[in-house]
Amino acid sequence: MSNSLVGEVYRDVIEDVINASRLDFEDSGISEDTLRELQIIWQERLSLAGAGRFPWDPEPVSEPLPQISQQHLQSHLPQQHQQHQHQHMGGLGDNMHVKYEMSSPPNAASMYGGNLVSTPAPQPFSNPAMAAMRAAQHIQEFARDEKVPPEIVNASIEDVMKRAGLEDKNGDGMGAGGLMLPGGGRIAQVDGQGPAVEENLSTADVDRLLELHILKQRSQPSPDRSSDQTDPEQSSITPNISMKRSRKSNQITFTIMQADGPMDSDSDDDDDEDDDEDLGLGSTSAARRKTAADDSDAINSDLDDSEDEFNSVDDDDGEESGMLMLCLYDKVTRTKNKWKCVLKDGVVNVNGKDYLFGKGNGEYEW
Amino acid sequence: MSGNAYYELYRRSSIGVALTDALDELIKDSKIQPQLAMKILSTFDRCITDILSDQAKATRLSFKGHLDIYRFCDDVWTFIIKDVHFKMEGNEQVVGEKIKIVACNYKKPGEP
Repeated sequence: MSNSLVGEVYRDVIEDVINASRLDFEDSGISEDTLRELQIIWQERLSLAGAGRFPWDPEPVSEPLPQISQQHLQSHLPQQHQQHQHQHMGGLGDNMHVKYEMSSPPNAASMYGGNLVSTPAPQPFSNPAMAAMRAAQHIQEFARDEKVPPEIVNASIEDVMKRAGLEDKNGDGMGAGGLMLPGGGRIAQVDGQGPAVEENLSTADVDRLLELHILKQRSQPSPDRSSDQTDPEQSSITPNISMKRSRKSNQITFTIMQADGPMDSDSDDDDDEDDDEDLGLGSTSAARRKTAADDSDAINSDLDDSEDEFNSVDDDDGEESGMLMLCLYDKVTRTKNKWKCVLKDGVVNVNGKDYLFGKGNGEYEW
Repeated sequence: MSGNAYYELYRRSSIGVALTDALDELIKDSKIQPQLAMKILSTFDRCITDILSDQAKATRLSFKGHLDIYRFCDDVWTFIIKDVHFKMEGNEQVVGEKIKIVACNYKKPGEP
């Protein structure tokens, strides 16, 4: 079945891209750890999309395995939905699970437990805990392949676990306002601007930042931005609009949300633009973005509008259900209302599952 | 095919979207620069095109349905087909209510 091809092909694509990007990472002076992180996140996202079974996914939990560690994992992991038996190569999976159990740091494990408890109704499909477990496994795998010292491995796992907490906050949205602290504590969010999540700061740090922030607000309604101070790295983010595919994933890691509406320095009236992201950017960049939007408005003609309409029809109906075929066409012919097309090298997503084809034939009437 | 002659078409597939999301996350965390992300995406364009044409070569698929909307613009065909019946490799049949097809020209402009 062509769906089984998907796992292999996607794995090869990921490996190829990662290997081919190694030089680019070196040239940019970015460590290989980040490249590995990219690979891990990429695979995780793909698994969460549920388009198929992938070689990097953990063993299907239904497979009976005698190891105690495996049973232990089973009791923790929610049942993953799947229809396909996973073809695993060799005995790799067994070793992986054992190793993971043995060497996962106790504090990360307890934190994972803590997060899970405080999570309201974890959803099996976007379960961050499971993603984190999976990521941890990958780290172990890398570590074994590349002989990475254990302390680095443990640190990476902890990092992934923390991120699981972060993802979770954004994932379940509703009852999840407030700051999740690395220790497992939580500060209730009162400003209503969406989940504010902090990463990699101790409780003391957060306390100090909160205090600073409140003091500043009291003393002056100035255009100073609290987040500029809290994290100099964040403020150096460039507004990459083209990369920002959608705003659905609200994964912003800024420290403290601004509690007040009117005091906001960004008092221009583009409220829709005014989301979390702006906190980390200079007002100049916001202005720049605004002018960019104006420009595009100016360029747009009536023709473009009709095209937008066309697209919006698709977006509403076609893509929301995830049914999309991307391919190359060799021949498209029509006689009267009968169409025939010969397609090549396609990726299709039908009812949530991905399929690939080298050659496709379509017949349809208008 | 050489140089920049790769379609960015597959970025909208699930694997492309997953990559874009992952890159977004790294950019937001200031771990990589947007320029590097763009480079990786064009690497992705190349890799998936080559691997697809190589590994999926023997895989066939056919489908029938009712054409709802068609468009041919800038050498790109777009179809929206309703009540579509797919016949996958190994006689697996899948039925979909509606699918959007975006197809770029197999023959690159300039090629015979």
